[in-house]
Amino acid sequence: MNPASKPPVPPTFEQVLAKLEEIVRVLEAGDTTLEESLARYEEGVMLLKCGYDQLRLAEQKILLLNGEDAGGKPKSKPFEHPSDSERLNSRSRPPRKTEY
Amino acid sequence: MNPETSTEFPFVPEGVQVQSVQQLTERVRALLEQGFGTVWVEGEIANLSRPSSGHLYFTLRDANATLSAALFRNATFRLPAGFEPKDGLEVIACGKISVYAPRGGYQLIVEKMFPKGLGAAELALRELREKLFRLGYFDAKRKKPLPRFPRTICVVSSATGAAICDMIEILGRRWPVAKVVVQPTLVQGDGAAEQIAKGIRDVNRWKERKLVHIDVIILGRGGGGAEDLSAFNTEIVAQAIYESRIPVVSAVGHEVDVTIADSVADVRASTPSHAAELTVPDRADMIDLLRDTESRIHESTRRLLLLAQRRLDELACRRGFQLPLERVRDQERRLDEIGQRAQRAIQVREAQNKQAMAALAARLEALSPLNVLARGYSLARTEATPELIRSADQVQPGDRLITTVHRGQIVSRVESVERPPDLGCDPPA
Repeated sequence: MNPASKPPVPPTFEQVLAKLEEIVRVLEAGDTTLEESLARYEEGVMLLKCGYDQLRLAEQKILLLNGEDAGGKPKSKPFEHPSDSERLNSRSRPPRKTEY
Repeated sequence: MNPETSTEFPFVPEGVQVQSVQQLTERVRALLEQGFGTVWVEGEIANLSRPSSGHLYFTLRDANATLSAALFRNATFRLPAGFEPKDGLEVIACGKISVYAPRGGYQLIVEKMFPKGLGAAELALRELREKLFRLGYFDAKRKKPLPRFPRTICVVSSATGAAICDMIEILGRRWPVAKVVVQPTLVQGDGAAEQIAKGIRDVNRWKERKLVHIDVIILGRGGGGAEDLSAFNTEIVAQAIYESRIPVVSAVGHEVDVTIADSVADVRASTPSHAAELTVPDRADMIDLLRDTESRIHESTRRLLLLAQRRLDELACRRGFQLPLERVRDQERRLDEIGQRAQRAIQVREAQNKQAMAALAARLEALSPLNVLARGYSLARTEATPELIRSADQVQPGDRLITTVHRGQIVSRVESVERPPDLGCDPPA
């Protein structure tokens, strides 16, 4: 990667899971060197945290598509459905995030 | 058979011909077939039998009459798609009246038959379904698998109503990781089919141009009770789903009423809520999976470490390792001794250096001008220059002098200057 590029994108949950499966497989087979195993272990712990964070911190984002602009790009705006306002009234929850 | 035979039977009136059953039946047949031609008749199917020949035999009946009917195998292929004749069904049949000689009964040879309860629209729908089936639209082979962890889900549906709320609620509860994008469309009434098809096509086009990232489309209806699902039974919607590169989950039909859109879609859900459940994994399950993975990783690593430790311990206990260790300890002891000796040598050298320093300091002390002052000498300079005064020429009457003595300084003013005798070297004043 060249240094001018964007900061690395965090792996998707799917990628996290795939890597974890690979790590478990390698560790359980136990046929790599100890250093390699410990490196895998460390990577696994980081991936686990990443996976947990994705699940625990996730907040649903909803958008309403709104046709397209002159350049043919889709337009969108925050989506609000009736149950949102009900929730706001009853539990005074903060509004959902809606950035695309 | 022979007209002459009549004379053999005195009870047969003169001139009357006795016919065989077959002869009479043939005449009846001719009469019926010519007399009726093609007829349309409505009635209820009863006593339906399906022998292995593939022909169908049944009775058409109404409250007061019955009519035997046969529908031969080749005609069964012309039945409307999806139409299964069965007992009790009201039908309209078209065919010719004929006679079945062995039984001596007349019957209807059915050429076309339609279920009577079905409207024209439904028949057209069946035909469309048949056509799409032939085109391979419902082929299981071409159905696309759903992504296991969709990152963005597009819901093509009415943006209002119970269905969309249910879906968003369930998607959010199960998998809030995924973003939901709603592509609002009419779902019934004029233009609904066109809007639904356009909605699907637009999303695909945007994705192809990399303007959006969408992994899966959920096609939903409005929700609520009696709904008109006809928009989802159109060819234009079927085609849009068929051509979608993004997998489509349909949540249109009800349990009992499967629309064409449902059949073309890659995955069919029985309700909008069900569609949401099929589209995303459950967060709780995934947390369980991570926990399981976590304990497996910990456990296997712990086991590897224990194993490594045990192997090290075993090696360390071998005699081969004990001997070199002793040698190493000897070396260590020698190193310690050398270290201590070096330490002592350094301390001695330091003491010697200190003495030498003291001697030097004493000599310096003796040379210090301050000691000379102690003996009664003094150093004088004018206030203006730091230079010491060595000659009367350096001062004028009135100059302020600073004289350093053994203890402190004296500030004084020059009253007069007495020069030493002129040696004749100075230029005239």
